[in-house]
Amino acid sequence: MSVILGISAYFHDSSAALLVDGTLVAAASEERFSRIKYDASLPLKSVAFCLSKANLSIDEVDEVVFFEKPFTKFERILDTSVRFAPYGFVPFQKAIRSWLKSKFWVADTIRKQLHFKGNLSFSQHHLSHAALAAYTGPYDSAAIVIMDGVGERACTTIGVYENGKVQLLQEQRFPHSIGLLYSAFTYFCGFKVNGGEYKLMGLAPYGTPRFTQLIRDHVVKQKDDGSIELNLEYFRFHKDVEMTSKKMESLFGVSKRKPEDELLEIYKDIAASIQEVTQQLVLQLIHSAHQLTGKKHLLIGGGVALNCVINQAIISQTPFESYWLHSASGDSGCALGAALWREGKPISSDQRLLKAIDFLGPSYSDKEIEESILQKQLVFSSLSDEELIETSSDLLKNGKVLGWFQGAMEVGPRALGNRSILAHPGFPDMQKQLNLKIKKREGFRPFAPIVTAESAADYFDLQEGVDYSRMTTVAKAKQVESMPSCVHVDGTSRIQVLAKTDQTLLHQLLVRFGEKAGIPVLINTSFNERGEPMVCSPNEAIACFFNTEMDALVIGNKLILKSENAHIQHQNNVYALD
Amino acid sequence: MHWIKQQLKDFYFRLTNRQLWIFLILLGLVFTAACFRFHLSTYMLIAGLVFFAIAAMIPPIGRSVYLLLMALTSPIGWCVSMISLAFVFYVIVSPMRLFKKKQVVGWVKSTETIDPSQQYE
Repeated sequence: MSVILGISAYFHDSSAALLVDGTLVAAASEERFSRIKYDASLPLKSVAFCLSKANLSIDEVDEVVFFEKPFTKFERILDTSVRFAPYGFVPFQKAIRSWLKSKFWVADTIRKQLHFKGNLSFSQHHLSHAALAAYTGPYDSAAIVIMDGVGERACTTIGVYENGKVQLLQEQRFPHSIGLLYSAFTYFCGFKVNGGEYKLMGLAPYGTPRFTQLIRDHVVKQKDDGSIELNLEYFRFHKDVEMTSKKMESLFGVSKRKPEDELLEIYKDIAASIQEVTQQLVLQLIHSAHQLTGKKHLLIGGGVALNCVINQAIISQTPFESYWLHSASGDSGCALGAALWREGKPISSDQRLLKAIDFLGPSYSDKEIEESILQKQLVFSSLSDEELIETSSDLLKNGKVLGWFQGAMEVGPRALGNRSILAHPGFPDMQKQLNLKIKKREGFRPFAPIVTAESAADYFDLQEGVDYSRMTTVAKAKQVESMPSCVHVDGTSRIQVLAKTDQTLLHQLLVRFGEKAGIPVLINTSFNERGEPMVCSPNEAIACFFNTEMDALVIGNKLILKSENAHIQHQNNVYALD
Repeated sequence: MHWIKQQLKDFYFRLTNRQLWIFLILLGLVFTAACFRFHLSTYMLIAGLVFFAIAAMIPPIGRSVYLLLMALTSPIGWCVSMISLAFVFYVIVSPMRLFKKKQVVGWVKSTETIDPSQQYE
């Protein structure tokens, strides 16, 4: 038996993943257990979960794989500090503290904290991303494009996947990074780096891209080969803890937006412009990858690959016939990628077809769920599947908001229907209500719909053979009125198409809801509130339910109604704003 | 104090002018080799050679360089000099971009992980 444990830590989104005889058994981000969003600490709780799910002890693990090369990364930090001296000293003196405290001693810490005595190996950051995409993807041969902020040194990498072998060909190095460019504008628009990027993406359709040419002329240049050059006069991330310089403010004639300040039109225009610029850069890069590799299919990974608006354009505007990315293509999937890299072969087609690779987190038995409910002294009903579908669809049809907790937790950042908040998209004010009363977040943020595979083409423009779960698509004009709360202002939605075999209960709910409400589409958003990681256990689901204005909660086959539990007070959990 | 002055004076006149001249020429050659070994820029090389040439030609300057060097290479002087050099390097030499190492723009060949047990490439 071969047992490989992948670990990512000390950056952001620490995680652990377990591979037993080439089968992905378990994976989870540490934030889901520690309840600290984007937790970067050594994922001890995730490791404990992975081992307990596989019923193994640490002594039975053959190899632990760390997701990157720490010393190469330190070399880059040192090099940056000297290159941009004396300014480079500021980020260096901040970085050196955490390096001295933990990052230099990764190997020792893993051995000591996990009591591990076996082989310890180190992948490369982009190799981990590439292995995740290649070994979980549906192709035997494909080009690979990895784009993120920065790994050890590489910011963008092109590679190939052929006959089960991942090979990285060329890379573009720090500081010329598409990811950092997007993050810098995220910062400029008042959102947090490493987490707020999806807010900028959601904000973009509200603005006009009138600064696109300005950004292309002054801030970033791209060669025909897809490589980019940032004009570092506009940035400070290489020599300070801030991301952008005063020159950026002069360029747009507006100062950097402070977090939670009013969102002026100009910030929306800046968001629209950088979204357009990033799309242009990525598409040119992908064109270059096609020329370099000559492959028909594309595998993408890294944080930039989570930009579902850009992904939409890959199909229509590049020569690739199709593309694939894992739902945890950001750093939360690096542990999975590192383990797969050491295994060196793709997962079985059965595991891929069952979409099990998206649901590798903890699951809870009926007994555990009931214990959690009883412990809180809640009024609840145990229902059969039919009753549960009937009652839930009635609630949703009547505009109630439903917490939906089933099976194993999603491994990536997206809610795919096992830890979701569901709602009727037909109510025009549902988006606002969900944003402000339940998710407690910015009012402009869009919601993604989930739709049955049988009806998806009736509501959205779809191309045959394309997996739409990681990209946006255009909603059919005549259907927009029937689902206003899940169609963004630009007429697009990031849809999840659910086949009958994927998640049976949720599929049945969608069908029954469709019969009653006339539309087999539901809003599907992650089960959490602002600043909180997605819920993992029944206890956290119950806490989130009572902390927000959700109307009903379905955990397994148990239904809890807020109206029947008026005696339970709001939990008032306070999370740091993300 | 008198003793220190006497020691410095002895040190100052320990070498004859010819010996000092040879010493400074050798120092200049070491400096030239170091420039090539550590990829210092041509400007740095020229500036250094001019400095050593002047020191070799004008004995009081040459003797001061010699004295300074001897003082700096004593145990306490060595510590002070290394810290000073690091400071000078970081605050003056690096920002002046006197090193030839250029920032990499564009594609470079990806490094392969040859030994997975290593924490560096």
